[in-house]
Amino acid sequence: MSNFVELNNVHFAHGERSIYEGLSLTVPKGKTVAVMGPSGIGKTTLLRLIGGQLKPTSGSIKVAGEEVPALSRKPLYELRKRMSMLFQSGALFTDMSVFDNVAFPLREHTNLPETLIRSIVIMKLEAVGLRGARHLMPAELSGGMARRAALARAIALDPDLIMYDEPFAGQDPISMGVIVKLIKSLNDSLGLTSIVVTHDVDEVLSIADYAYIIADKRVVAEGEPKALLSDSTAIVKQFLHGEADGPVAFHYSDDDFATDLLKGAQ
Amino acid sequence: MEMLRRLGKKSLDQVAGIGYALAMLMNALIGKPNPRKSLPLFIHQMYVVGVLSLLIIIVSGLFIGMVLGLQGYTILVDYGAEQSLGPMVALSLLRELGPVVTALLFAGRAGSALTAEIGLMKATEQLSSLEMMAVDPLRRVVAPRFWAGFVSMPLLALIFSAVGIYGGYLVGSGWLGVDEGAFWSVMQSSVDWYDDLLNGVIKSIVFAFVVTWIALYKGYRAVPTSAGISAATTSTVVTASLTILGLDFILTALMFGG
Repeated sequence: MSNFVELNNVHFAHGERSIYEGLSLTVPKGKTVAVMGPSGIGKTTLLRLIGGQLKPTSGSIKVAGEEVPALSRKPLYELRKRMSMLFQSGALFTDMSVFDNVAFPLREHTNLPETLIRSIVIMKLEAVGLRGARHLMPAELSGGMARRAALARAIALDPDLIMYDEPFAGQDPISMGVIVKLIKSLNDSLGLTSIVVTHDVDEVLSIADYAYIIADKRVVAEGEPKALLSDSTAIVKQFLHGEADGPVAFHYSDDDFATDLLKGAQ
Repeated sequence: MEMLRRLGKKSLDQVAGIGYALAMLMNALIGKPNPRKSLPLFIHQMYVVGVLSLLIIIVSGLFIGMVLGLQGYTILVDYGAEQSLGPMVALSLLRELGPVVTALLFAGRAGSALTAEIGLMKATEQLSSLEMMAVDPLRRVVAPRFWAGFVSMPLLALIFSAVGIYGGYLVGSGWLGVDEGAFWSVMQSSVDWYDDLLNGVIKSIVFAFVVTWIALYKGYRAVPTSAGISAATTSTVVTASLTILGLDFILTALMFGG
């Protein structure tokens, strides 16, 4: 079985702040891979690196066998037609209706007649349960609906790889359940490869084939969900069971608390 | 020493900014055109940027022309030269006020809107998602807006001047009693097609290029937060206005100075 995405020893820094130091992970074709980690460790950055929007300082990023950072504009854009990304905010185009949003990639990249585009859009919207909402504008949608509409747009071109950026954040339990099922069924029925970046442990572990935990600028644990849940390493336990004390600092580091308080008295 | 360091950093940032702006424009405009896709986008932007600016341009032009007629008359009548009111109004508008005031109004009306729109598209990740959909936001979003601004502003400046001249005529002839025949015929004989009209149009083409470019660049490089977008919008209006006035001096010196 081949790997669709391969990251090898990736280093990346945002200005002076180092984000990754030696990150390696692989995503096998046709599988759902979860990438988990505390907030603020650059999980979205990871997806942007894979999508070629950011270039690593060193290391190799391969998607479908192609070295992404080395690609020039044209092959990069060709490669991007095969992947799609679901943004945390949905990132729907606010000046277009839901229908036109989903039709957008089809109109941009294919020469299909409008009647065929209509059928495809309706099928995609049916898959996410928004066929009746096609005439609404993005501003009229709830957060959950917006994300589902964005998902319909993301699968419009039948990509090989789909990257989900925090798909569960801020969802009510019902739409959370719907999205979990959608990711699973898209993966099973369309045979696409998924990367789910999240910190919602229970949801993602219920659908992932394999999971990575990122902390301290690299992968600190990996394995199949069951194995990870029974892992007894301190950092894995802390993250999967949500404990404030452990190797990952909950407090943004600063002076000692007592010293800081006393500073005011001086 | 610290001040020197800061000055150095600031100038480096400025130069880098100009570089980014140039790169943005090059990437947006150079490439194989695809009229089937870009023409509808361009026409839509012409409507948003040009047609919707018409009202403010026409109203301002009319009032500025009327004020010119009034002020010009009170000065000229002392010398018995009120016959020259026509050329005075026409020359002021065609050479200076038409291009400059239109550019200033355009920066405030359309430029700020362009910056805010693109900044907000950036903040809501719409530009990023375009990129991930293999659609270049520079060509899809920036290019049609640039062309629309570049084409529409000189046209707006001409409309401004025409309406302004009519305003001057209304006040001068209609109200203050300058002879109608003299107003138009003296204007016709003293306004030169090349020296006055064409130079004015060249000015507004330069302004159109610069104002639209500044507005798009400020939006594209905006810090994607609410404070960042408001700062970018302000910066568009301030930078564009100062650039217009500075360039106007240089252009006037080149065109009419020698």
